Amino acid sequence: MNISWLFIPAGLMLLAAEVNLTRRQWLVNLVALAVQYLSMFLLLTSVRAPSFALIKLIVGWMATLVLYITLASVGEFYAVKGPQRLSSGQFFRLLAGLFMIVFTIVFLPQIQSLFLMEGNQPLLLAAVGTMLLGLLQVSMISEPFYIILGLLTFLSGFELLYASLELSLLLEALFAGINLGLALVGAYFLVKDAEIEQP
Amino acid sequence: MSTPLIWIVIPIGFAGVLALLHNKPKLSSILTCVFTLGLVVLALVFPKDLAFVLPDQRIEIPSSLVILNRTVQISGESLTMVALLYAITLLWNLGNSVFKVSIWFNALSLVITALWVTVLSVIPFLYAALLIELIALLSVPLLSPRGKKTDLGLLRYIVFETLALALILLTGWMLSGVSAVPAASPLLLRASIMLLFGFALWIGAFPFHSWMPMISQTSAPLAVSLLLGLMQTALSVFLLTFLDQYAWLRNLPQVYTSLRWLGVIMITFSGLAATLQQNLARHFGYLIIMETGYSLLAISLTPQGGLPYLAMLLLPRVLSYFLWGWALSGIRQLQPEASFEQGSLSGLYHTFPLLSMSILVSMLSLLGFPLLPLFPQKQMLWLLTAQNAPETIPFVIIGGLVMLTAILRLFRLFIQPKGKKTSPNPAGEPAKLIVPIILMFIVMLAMAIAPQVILPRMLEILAPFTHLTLF
Amino acid sequence: MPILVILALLLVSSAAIAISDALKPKVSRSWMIALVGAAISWLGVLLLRLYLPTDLSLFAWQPESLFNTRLFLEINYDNWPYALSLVTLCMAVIFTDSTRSFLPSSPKAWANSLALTAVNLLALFAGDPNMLIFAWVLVDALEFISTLPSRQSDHSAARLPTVFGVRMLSTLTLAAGTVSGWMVQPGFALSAIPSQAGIFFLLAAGLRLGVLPLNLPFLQSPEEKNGPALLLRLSPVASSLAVITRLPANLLANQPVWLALFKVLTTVAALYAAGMWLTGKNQHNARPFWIIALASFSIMCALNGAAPASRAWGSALLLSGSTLFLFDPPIRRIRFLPILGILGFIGLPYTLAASGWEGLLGTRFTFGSALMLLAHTMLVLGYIRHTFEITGTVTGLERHARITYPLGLILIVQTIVILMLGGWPGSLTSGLWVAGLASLLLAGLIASFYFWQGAQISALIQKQNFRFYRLGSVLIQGFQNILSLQWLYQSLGWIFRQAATVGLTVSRIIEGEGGILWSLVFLVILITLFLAGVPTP
Repeated sequence: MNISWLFIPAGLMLLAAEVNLTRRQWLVNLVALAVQYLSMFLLLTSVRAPSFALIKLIVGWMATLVLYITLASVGEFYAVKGPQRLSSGQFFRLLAGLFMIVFTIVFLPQIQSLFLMEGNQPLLLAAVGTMLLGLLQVSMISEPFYIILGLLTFLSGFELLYASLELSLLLEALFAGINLGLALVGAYFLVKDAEIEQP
Repeated sequence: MSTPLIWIVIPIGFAGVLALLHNKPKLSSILTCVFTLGLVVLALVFPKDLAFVLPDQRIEIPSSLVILNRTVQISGESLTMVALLYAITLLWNLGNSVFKVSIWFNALSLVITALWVTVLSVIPFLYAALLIELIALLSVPLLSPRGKKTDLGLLRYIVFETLALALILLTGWMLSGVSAVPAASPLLLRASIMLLFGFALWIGAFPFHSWMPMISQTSAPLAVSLLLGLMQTALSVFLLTFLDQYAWLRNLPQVYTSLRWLGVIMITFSGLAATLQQNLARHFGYLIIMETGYSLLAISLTPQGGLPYLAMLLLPRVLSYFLWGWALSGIRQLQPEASFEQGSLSGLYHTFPLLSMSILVSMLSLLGFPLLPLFPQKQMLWLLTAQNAPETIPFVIIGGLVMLTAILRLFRLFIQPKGKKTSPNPAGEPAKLIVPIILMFIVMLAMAIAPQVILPRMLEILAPFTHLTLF
Repeated sequence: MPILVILALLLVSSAAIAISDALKPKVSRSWMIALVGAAISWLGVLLLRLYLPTDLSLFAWQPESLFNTRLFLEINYDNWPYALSLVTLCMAVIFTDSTRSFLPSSPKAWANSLALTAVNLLALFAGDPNMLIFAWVLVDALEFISTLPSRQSDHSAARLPTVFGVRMLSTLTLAAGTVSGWMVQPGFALSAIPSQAGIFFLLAAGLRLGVLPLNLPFLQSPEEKNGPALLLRLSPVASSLAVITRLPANLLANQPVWLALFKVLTTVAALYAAGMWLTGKNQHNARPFWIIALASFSIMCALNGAAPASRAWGSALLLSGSTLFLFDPPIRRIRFLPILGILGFIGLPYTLAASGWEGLLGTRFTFGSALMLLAHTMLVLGYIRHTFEITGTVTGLERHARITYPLGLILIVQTIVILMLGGWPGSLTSGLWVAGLASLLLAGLIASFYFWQGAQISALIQKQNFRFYRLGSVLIQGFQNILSLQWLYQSLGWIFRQAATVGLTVSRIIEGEGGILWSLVFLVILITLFLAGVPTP
């Protein structure tokens, strides 16, 4: 099977994660998150039946929706900002993210042997790259919303990796629960902090 | 009817009912306490073979329940642990009825306990990693209630649990074909390293500990003590599951040595860090780290018979946590502006004599001070350590001494004479706060003097681990 | 069983006083309850002498395969003299405290005294190390409750953590000693402490007594003069002394360097304390030195391999000391009573301390022995000096106190005689009569010299012109500062503050915004380190 087309969703997924790492505009971030889940779905179809892969897409989009609704409802506090120039911090994160992606590409053969996955390079690239970008995000930012985004990114990378290793219904259900739980927790943090800032 | 249904599904369903009743805290509290008491009693009296013999028939209760092609199994031998977990929930719910930590406390504590029971019962047990992540997410409303800004420590807790999830699940995958691999395979070593780090993230080992003191400082003491107490108790036993199930893991010579040093480092580090704290509430995080260190030390001494002491440490330790949580909550209830910063602790004894002394007693108890309930077990652990790993003893002693210094520092602060301007607390310490403390003192004293009364029952917790040296 | 009855009796009396005082305060009733309780207990302990040794097994921790502890009480020739001394002290305190019966706080003090005696008896009777550890913690807890700092008294509050810190350390040292002993002999009894563990027991007792290492945290605080305060100070001493009596004969036999070091430290402590006792302002101010000097004698006996001989000096510490300390208010007409207390430690043949010389001086007479002899001489001189220098304005007592007050002092003297006659096998002995005689002669010589030149010396001292006075006072002050261990606490405090600065900085970094990144860096480093040791497939 020709899987070279999978590099497109893999690239898209990494790009979305990179955008989330770099930018601080919640609408852009949520769109990137949605794109990330879509790319994940496309990548998953190479190792799973589309019906199973669809679960992750729906769960991911639901999580995005939960965050979107919350942010929209506390919109006065989290106002949508127009396009901005890259600040030094954002530029630094962009470079760090790019470094991570390059790192993943360079060491991909070693990572493949570590996970005993000789075939599906795009999936592994997207999975490991996204996990690293997610980790970078949670370590560099202290705002709850962006940490939750980072965790969702990390988890989507990990789920992608794990999906190619093992299939279990219970596992899928638990992953779905965790993703939605994370989104709800993120929403809870947003509402709570907005209440304090705007009593 | 099956045991997982009784101790997992029904409690979660009941928690749903409690969630609906969150606007009626009194009723919700009473129902929770009665329900958890029922679960505890049932777990204690349930026959170990899960069979009820009636005059004309024998009814056997199944021990497993299949959910989405995977099994959740609670055997008769595991029921003592189940009873302990629900007993902890019962005790803290009694506390919540006095301090009213959160309107969701009853429901969430019940769900979290049911999930911890699932963690110990799910097959394959590596799936527990996901449940632990769920527990972390469910803990959020208790640790960071509305009206309080989101704490960085809580976010860190979720981050670390997520990382641990990834490490543990990957370990599971690596080990899926382990039977075909020779014992000294690099794959096994790699898997055990990942497992060790996964566990280190879960239990908050140095340098992944920072979230513990942080949430101890910012969250309600009763909620923190419940969640961390439950977590430590369940994870200690969960680690035994790994050792019991994987022969290669327990046969790796480095495993016990690594666990021992990890434990000893945690004991020493927590003591050192506790002496530096400026905020009283943060001490709890370090006490938890110290106790986790002792658990690891006991587990590392498994071949030499350390496990019984681990089992017998669980209950007294939980009582000490409760005393801590109770005392701090009591002070906060009587003095809502109490920040627990060092400056505000001066002369605390003169305002709240019993509450302040309870804090010191709980700390001394965890230190393993004589006439307090952790002493008999810790004394034997010290003996085992001295006999089998004398090189670690200096670190254990240093850890203990610096923790004692931290306690004495607090003692000095508490008894400092109050300035003339400060007037004593006119209301004093109300009976509803004092009576449980006195009762707890009595129970703790009884356990210390005559550990044989209750603690041997705790040894039953070890019964499911048939591959480990127990006595 | 009789042991439990005695303990119960003391505790019940204590509770009865507390209840009676709470319901309907009446000092005379409280005093009577205290006296009856103490007197019956005293009689009980005295009668126990006929049944020595006897023990009472309480229970063993189960499962026995997992624990080494069997809690039991034991009374034998090692601890009985201390038990009798302690009950005597308690009874004497109640007798003599009748002079203070007008104070409304007295019943509480008596109740405390009885309870304190009971828990200290428990420590004395402890048959196994864990029983002793528990009793010590109880003693400390009770003492803490008795000395609760008041809201305004910053003086004692500042020192309490040090005092209780030392106590806790001593308890933990005892626990460590127990563990160390179990390594060679699981479940050993206090009557057979393994030599390996002996050093821990010695240090634990030494810490409590303030001898090893020499520490005097209460030196600067005023000593309470009343009887219950004396009991509060002396009763924990009794339980520590009983441990010394049970130390193994071959203590530190394999470590001659440590043995020599401990002997030097003990001798220095004894000499210093005896000197301070001799020159102390009055008997109450010098009380800590009396305790340390005679406790050093006991410890020296143990170091010389004759721990049982320490009973003589230990009993002297309690009995002779309390005869003098309880002589307050000092009534001129009965001044002979405290002088009789000297019988307890003079060390002449067929007196109480006669059997203690061999332990104190060792089998060979060395320079160290000579110094200990000198310390004894100074103690004798100091005792005589304080007895004769006691002054007071009280010329008469209330009618009831005229009988009870001297009775209390007579009771102590009487107990000295009882112990002298039959405290333990060999208590009535001529002992090393030369030592006793030498000490007495030396004391006589010094006293004569003082009386001969005394007026001039006093004048010189008053003018502060005495050549060595200034140098001496500076030296003593410096030595005293060293012994108070304040320098140690201050140094530790300084180290702590520096460490805290570094620690808090590290903590801020780990807990700051980049904390997760730091943790991940650690994680990566550790995993890399571990994996570096794992060969690739």
